[in-house]
Amino acid sequence: MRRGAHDEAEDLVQETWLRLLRAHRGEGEPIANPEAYLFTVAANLARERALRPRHTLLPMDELEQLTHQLEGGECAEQATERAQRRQRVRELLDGLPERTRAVLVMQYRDGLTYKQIGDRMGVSAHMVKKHVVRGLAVCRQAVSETGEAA
Amino acid sequence: MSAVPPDRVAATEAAAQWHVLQREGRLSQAQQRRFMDWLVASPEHLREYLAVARVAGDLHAVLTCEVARAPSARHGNVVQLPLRNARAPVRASGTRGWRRLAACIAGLACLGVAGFAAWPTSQRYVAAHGAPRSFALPDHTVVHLNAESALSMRYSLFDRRVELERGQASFVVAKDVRPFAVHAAGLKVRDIGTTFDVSLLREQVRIDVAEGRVRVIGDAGEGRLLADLQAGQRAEVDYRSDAVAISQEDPQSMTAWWQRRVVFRDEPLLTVVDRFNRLNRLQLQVDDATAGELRLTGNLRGDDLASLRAFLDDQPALVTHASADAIHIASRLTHDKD
Repeated sequence: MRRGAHDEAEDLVQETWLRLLRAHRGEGEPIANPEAYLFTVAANLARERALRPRHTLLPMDELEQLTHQLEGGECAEQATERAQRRQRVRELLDGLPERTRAVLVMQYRDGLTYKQIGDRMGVSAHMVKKHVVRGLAVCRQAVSETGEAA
Repeated sequence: MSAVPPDRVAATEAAAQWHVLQREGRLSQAQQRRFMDWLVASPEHLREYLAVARVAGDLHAVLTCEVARAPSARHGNVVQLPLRNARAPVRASGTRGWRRLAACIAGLACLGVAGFAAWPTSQRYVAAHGAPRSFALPDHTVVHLNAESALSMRYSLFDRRVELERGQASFVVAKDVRPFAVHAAGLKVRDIGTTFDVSLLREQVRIDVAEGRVRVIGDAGEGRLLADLQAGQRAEVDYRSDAVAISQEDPQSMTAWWQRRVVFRDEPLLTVVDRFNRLNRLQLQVDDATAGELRLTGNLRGDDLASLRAFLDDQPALVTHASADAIHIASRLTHDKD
């Protein structure tokens, strides 16, 4: 994997976190919807970063990638990386317990609420949430292990 | 073997929990504040929160359909099938892959389909006397199988076929590119994305549609279209003549039996008795044909025979008496003559 991309992602996390911390410790009103706020901050930072002028001479391949980004596309490495990650997620899905997988399908494919899923499976919404948490955590851990191994 | 440090595992769990709560959208101000406290407690928390959101985005993409954009579309194991319910393309943010990308392009390969080939393709399910059960089929269609019922399923890459051998079953059909059909007593009930119920009664097959739409076709799918049912409609098809009667029913009463309620509207006693007998050890027995044909309307708990008996005793035309092995039901006239 290209080291630069990884560093940039990490920088983005750090910068977003600092902004959140500043906003949180600030004197104004508490943030009503922290999730929306964090995604907005992160998205803005990412955009600024992509548009930021660079004064150093760029290697040819990086220049090409940057142009592609500015055109609204994404670089081949990102696309490949994402495809690999999704392939892994697909495999992980097959390995999950039957009921956890059924819950994930009803949530992410059919867009049902926890209550609707619970009604269909004859379990409580609370139980449905536990399945989603487990599914997400298992996939996240496995993806990060694969990522670090690569 | 996990090389992941324990703090990271805890952060991932917490991130997943917050993510799930946020999707519900009902957090109080106090909860939002706790969420914010948790987020800023460590950059690790934010990193995991973003990572979990990305996994959620990946799950959505994988389960709906995959963006086949060069060069990511080069998977050798992809089976290309046209998509029936393809969504409009969503433009991805061009900067980073970490944002939640719910992207999906119409008409492209749905990579998830490849997984079906590996799933079990045939299976038989039986529910014993007094023991209705619910379960999910490999495509996540949920089946409620009534007591004393049996069905078998056979899935291929191109279709999903279920055979109701006896009894009653409801299907909450999962969306899929492959058509879903239930075969019962020589009929084919073809689903068009829906919740429906098929019941093999004494004289006919009954099909109830609680949600969506189904088509009922004769001669195991080779014959004519017998009914095209919408939500809230019931078709009763006679075994011998294929005569069809269609009526309007309350969709909620169609699925009431999932909670072990027995709901009947203008149904012959004999059919009602069969439904109770499936669920209880103490059997009901109808002693004469006149009583069996009496049409009744009611809504009772399936395991509450005392209430049923009180209900039957209230009918001016019926009389009941208990013996060691059964509750006998007869018409009052017949009974009086004895």
